[in-house]
Amino acid sequence: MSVDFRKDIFAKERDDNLNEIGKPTRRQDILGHVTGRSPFFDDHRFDGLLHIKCVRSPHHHARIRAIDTTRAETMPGVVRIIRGSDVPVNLNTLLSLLDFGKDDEPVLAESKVAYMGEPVLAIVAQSEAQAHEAVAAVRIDYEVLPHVLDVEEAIKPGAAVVNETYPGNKFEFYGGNDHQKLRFGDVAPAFARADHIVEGRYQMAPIEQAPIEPNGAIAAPQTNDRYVCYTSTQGLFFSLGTVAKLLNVESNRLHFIGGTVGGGFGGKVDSLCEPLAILGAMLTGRAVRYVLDRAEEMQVSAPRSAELWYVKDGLAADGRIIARQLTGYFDSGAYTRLTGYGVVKCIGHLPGPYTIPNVHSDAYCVYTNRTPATAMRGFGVTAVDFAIERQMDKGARALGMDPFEFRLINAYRDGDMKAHRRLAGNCALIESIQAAAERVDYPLGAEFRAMTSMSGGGGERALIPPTRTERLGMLPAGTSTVEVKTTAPGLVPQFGVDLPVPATGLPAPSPTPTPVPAPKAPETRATTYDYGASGLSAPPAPKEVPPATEPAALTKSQPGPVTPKPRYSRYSSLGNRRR
Amino acid sequence: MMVKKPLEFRLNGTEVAVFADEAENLLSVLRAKVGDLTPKYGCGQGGCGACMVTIDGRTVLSCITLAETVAGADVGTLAGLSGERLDPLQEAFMDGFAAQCGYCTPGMIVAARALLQHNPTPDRDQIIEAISDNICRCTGYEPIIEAIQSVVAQERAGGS
Amino acid sequence: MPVKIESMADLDAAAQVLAGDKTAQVLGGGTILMPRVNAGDVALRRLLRISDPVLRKMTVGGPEITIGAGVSMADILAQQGLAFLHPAAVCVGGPAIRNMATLGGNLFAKAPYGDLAVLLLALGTEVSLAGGRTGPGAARRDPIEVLFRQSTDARAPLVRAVHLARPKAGQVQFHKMARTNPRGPAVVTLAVSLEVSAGRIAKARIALGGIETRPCLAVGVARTLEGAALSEAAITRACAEVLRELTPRSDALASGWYRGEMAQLHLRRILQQMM
Repeated sequence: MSVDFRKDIFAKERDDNLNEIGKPTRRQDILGHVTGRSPFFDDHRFDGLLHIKCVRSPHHHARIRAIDTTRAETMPGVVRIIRGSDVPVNLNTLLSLLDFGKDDEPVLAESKVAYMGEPVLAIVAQSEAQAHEAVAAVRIDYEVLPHVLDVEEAIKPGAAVVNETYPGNKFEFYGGNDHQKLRFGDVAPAFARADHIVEGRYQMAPIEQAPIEPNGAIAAPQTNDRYVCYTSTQGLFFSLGTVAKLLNVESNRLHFIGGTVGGGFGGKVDSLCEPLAILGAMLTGRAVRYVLDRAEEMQVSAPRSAELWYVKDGLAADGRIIARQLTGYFDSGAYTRLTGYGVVKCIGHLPGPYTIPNVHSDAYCVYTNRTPATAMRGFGVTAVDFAIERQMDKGARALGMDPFEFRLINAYRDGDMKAHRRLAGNCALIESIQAAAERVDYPLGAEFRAMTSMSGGGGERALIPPTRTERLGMLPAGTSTVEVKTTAPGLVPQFGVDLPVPATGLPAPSPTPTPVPAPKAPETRATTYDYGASGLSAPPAPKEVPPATEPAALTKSQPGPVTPKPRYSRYSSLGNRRR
Repeated sequence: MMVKKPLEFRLNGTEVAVFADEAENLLSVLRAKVGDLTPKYGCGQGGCGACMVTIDGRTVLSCITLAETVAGADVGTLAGLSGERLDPLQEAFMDGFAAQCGYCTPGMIVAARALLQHNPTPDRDQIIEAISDNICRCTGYEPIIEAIQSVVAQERAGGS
Repeated sequence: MPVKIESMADLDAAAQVLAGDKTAQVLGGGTILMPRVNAGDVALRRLLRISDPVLRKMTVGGPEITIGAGVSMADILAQQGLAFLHPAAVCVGGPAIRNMATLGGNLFAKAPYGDLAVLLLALGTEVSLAGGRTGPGAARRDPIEVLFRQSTDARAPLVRAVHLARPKAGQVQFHKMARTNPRGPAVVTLAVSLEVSAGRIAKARIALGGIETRPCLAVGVARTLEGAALSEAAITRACAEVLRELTPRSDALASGWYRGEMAQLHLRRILQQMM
């Protein structure tokens, strides 16, 4: 497989004289991989190891009337049966560590189950086979409740309440909003003057990450009242914080060891196994292993959420998209996990890589009685991209235009204002489409072959139009100035930007971030990252580099009055993840 | 008390004797009883190839092999491949970046070694066929195929 | 009680056990039952391992071919005399699965598995059963389709071997359509056997896998072909018949609608190749 480095494009933005980047190198962990000696969580052996298997809901939605474990308790090898009432703090939401969302999910269901496969009991036994036998011997009396598996059905009045924390079946974002909004310009008059209106409805199924190594953890008591936990988690500190909260223990009593992950792709951020493995070790005083089998991985480990999108475009006869309206529903399943966060990411991604002067978008995170959804490779972005790109094909058809050329007309140019009020820079979409067309001998017209993302942007296209909002009415046009600084060879050009007042009416962020004191980290070994890996093993330890000043246009975070509290910084890498 | 079945076989040329549980699979015996951790659990269904080993030189999925069926047989795992020096396949996987998370790697190398044992000069399609029991979910198939091809090329060059 | 494994040296004795204990099942290569053992399926109580050498026997030299139920896909692929079965045997999993999977297991595999069984069905194979459940008549033979009308689990007969005649050159065509290649379960598997005499189709057998839970014969499709010469018109008539007699199943791999479309498409391609 040959990788084609197009060094002719953006040549001045890249330095070919770096010591590591661009040079072949061996992975630091590869000797362990090829000899089978890399220490995955399950490659640790303990005498008298106990095993957990869960009793799971056979219903999409049901009230638990009674649980009878009489037979199971006396079965050979059964050491302990853990119920929801044994979990010290049996309600959590994963991103509570970031103050995102309300606690809504138990480790083990107590009063009701909200999806098929939801765990109700954890059986700790001497062997997996004995745990399976005991699981089959438990009798649970369920009162089956009406369920809802469709996002549009779920938000209708009278729909079954999936998740009592959110009785309307919609997640509440910061400020109590039931959806995320994006407003840029004013779509209504633009639709009225458009030559074509193109509408589409797009649906994407959930996608299971399916790492070859399943989710799992082994926990064991250590001396000094501490517990060691070998885990497959993608977020070691994140998982540690989650367990500390659920089990109501100081995090310094937990000793997490991980970093060697057999594939994750977002499917190992939910801390599904660590809380029960450690609780099992606490309750039995023995080493306890809890691993999902493949059927559990497929049924109950969280996939990327399903999404449903409505897209409406207003097109000018010359091929420009003059307005785009998007309404999206993310299927979070029964609990929040990371889908609400995915919606926030999604809004920042709209309306796709195209310069559109009028954009209106609402995106909802909806609860249904399906398996809870979570992170998975570009969640919040990939599915809506599918919708947008199908819509682009549809638009090209409506105009009688070539779909490549239709995209080239609308693609971002450097210096264009994006709908979320950041200036576009290093927009290689035009060049990428040209390169793709060339590779497959796709004929592009001469004017399209001559296009470049490096000219034609800015100016009028850098302006923020007057914007219609529901709450504040019409906001005046924003202003922005773009100054492309001359750069020495090998340096990235910097876009200096005066940020306009954002449409929310909130003040722009202070240019200097408030310094945050570094907290004491809990003890955690064998990891050089905490939340940023996408299922790969630990990357080489980063070398010390002098701090660099980030160009203002590229600073992250939404403008807003919220001053970061110091405790956020413990989990600050959550905001920096790349997957 | 669970029934234990005495079981003797050779693992990578060395005699081993263990007590297997009733209906225990070979993967579990290798990992939990013998302590060879190179075969991995991925699915328990024979669907992913992470647990691949050889029995009398033929590849099998150890997670769906009843342990007691290997009585008296020669079992081979990745651990038996390298002694003081690495197998050329291991070197090629290292040079060619043919592992990402590393979890499928033991099964991949066992499959590739079994192929080269029976056919030292496979073509690309035969290599793909030979690793078709093995899933790499990081989808690094191309570097894996190229690493195997590079060993074929080396062995061709060395043999001529 | 956890599952119990028993080893038995004699096939007919095993058949007696099966006849007397409805919970007992035969463990062959392990590719179907071991995943259930690992998943803690408490319905499995008693598994029989049968080491009787008769199960591993193959007779390929003469006009009639006999293959023991314990013969693996790899064994079949190693046998040049069975080349006409290779296109199906090579579709079963990858090389490691084929080292394990047995012919007997393939006969009882539920869709989307059981590709070799589809080809055997088209070839008009007969099965001989061990004594026990079917009475002492161990020599009795049934057409293979009798197996596919029965349940796959409990009460399944114990197959000793399959028997079939070697097909003439060009008589049989096999095709499997999967979503992933080279290894993937079937969207649809097709096997077509046409016996032609004086330019007309004297006898047609069309077997499909993936469509129903077990391999099935498209009898109506075969009837439209019999007596006719193989022409585009005859092929169109035959393809139009497929959905009149079969209702394809839906699963995670494909909807029933898609399976129906693919069955017709690939039947057309196979018949055109045989023209």
